[in-house]
Amino acid sequence: MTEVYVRDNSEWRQINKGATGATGSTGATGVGPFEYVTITGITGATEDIRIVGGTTGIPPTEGTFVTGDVVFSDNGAAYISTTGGTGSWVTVGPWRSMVALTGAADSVTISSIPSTLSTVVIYATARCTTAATGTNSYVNINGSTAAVYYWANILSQSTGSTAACSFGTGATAGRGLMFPGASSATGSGTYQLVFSGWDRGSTTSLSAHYFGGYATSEFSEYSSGSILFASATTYTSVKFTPFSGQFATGSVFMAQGWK
Amino acid sequence: MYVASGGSWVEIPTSTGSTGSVGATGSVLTSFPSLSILGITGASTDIVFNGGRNLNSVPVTSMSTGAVVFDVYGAAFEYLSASSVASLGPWRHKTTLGGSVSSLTISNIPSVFRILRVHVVMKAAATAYSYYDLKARVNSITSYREMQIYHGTSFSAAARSNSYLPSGLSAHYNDSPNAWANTEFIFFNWNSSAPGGISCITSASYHSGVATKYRYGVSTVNSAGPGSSLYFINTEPPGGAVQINGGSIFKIEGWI
Repeated sequence: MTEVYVRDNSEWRQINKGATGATGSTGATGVGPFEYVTITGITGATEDIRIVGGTTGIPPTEGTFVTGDVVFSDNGAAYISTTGGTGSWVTVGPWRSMVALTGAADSVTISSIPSTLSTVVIYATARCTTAATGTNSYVNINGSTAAVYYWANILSQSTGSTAACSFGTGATAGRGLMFPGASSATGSGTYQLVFSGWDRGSTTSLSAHYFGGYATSEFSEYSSGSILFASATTYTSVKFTPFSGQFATGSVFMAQGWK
Repeated sequence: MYVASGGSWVEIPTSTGSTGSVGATGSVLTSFPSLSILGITGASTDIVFNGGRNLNSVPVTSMSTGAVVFDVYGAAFEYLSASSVASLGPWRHKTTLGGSVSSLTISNIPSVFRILRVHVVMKAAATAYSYYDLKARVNSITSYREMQIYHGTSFSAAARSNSYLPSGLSAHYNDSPNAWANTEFIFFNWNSSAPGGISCITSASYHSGVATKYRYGVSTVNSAGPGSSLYFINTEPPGGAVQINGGSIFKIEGWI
C-alpha cells in the first residue's frame, strides 16, 4: 500500500500506515490501523468507549487513560478503566457489583441486580463487630421479610458438634453463613453463594447453594447449605444482615452475574 | 483536513476513530472488514477486531495474534497466536504437565486480583493408596489456619494450624484412566497485603469406581500477602511426598 501524506497547516501527516494497513480497512481512503479508536455510541449506548490496544497479561501500569478505555491482554483477558489517569481497571466479563465497607454497617445489600441474569454468584468475605468469636448472617431476597424462606445447612465447628445438620423456615435464610467476630483476632469469613435461575422470576422460587466459613486462631467454622425463596417475583437484590453486631470495616461483597 | 480527489475536496480523518473517517465519495466510513489498533503507551500491543456472529463455537480459522471476535451467543474470543484461541474474560493461566514432577510452582501470578479461582485436575504417580492429598501454598508461606471436612465413610472435622492450605485430592494412578480428582481453590482478597487478609475455600471430589472422596475446607493465610505464586505437591495420606502424574492440569482465573 502506498503511504499517503497530507499537509495539515505546517506539518505533513501520514493518513495511512503503509503496508500494515493492508490487513485492515478496505475503504477508499485506506485509513487505519489506529493507535486507538473512540466509539461515541448510539441511542441506548451513548457513553464513549475507547479501544486502546493490548497489554501483556495484566492491566496497564503506565500511560494516560480515560474512563471507558478497553484493553486486551495476550492471555485472553480484557480490562476496562473505571477512572482516568493511569486507570482503575476491572476485568471485562460478567455483570458485577461490589460493596466494600469503609465503615461498619448494620447490613449489606447488593441491589439493582439485573433480573435477566441466569446465574448470580456472590463472593462474601467479611468480619463482624460482635464481641463473640463469630455470628450468623441472614440473607433476604428483594428485602422480603415474609416467612417464605426454606434453608438447610451442614455446619462443622472446631469445638462441639461436628457436621451438625439443621433445617428451617422463616423470614430469613442462610443462617449457616458464619463470620468471625471481634474475639477472633485475624481472618475473614468467606463464602460463595450461587443463585441459579435468577432470571426465572415471577413464576418460580429461587434457590441457591453456598459454602465457606472461617478459620482463626480462636475458632473455626465451616458450613454449606441451600436456600429456597418461595415467593413468585422478579429478583433484584440480596441483603446480608449479621445476627449480632455489624459487618466490620473492610468487609467485601462482590457479585458476578451471567445471562 | 481535506484532500483533493477527482476535482473536489474530500474530508479525511484528523484524529482517530471511525467517526472521523470520510471516504473519497464523501460518505462516512463506518464499516471495516477488520479494525487494527496499534495501542498507546501502557497498552501498546496490536489488537485486531475481525467481526464474528453466528460462530456458535470457538472459531477455527487461523487469524493473527491479538485478533478478537464476537458471536451472537454471547461469547468473545481472542487469538493468543494464529492457532491458539481463548475465551475473552478474566486473566488466566494454564499448566498441563507433560510428565511426572515432584512439585509445581506457578509464579508471576499478578497481585492485583480480588478473586482467584484455581482448578486442578490431578492424578498421583503412585499406587500405594486409594487416593492422595493435593497440598498447596501461597507464595512460600508456611502458616495457615485451616479447617476441613472429609467424606470417606463418615464426616469429620478439625481446626488446626498447618503449613499448607486445606488439601485437595489426587487420584490413584492405577484406577481407571479416566479417574482424575478435581479440586477448586477460591482465593478471596488475593491482592491483600495484610496478615490474615487472604482467605480460601476449597472443594474437591474424586470417584473412580474404586474410591470416593469429598473434601471441603476453609483457611486463612496467616502471613502477609499479596499473593504472587502457588506451590503444589502431592502426598500420601500419611504425609509422604509422591509425584504428580503427567497430564495433570492447573488452571487459574483472576478477577479484579
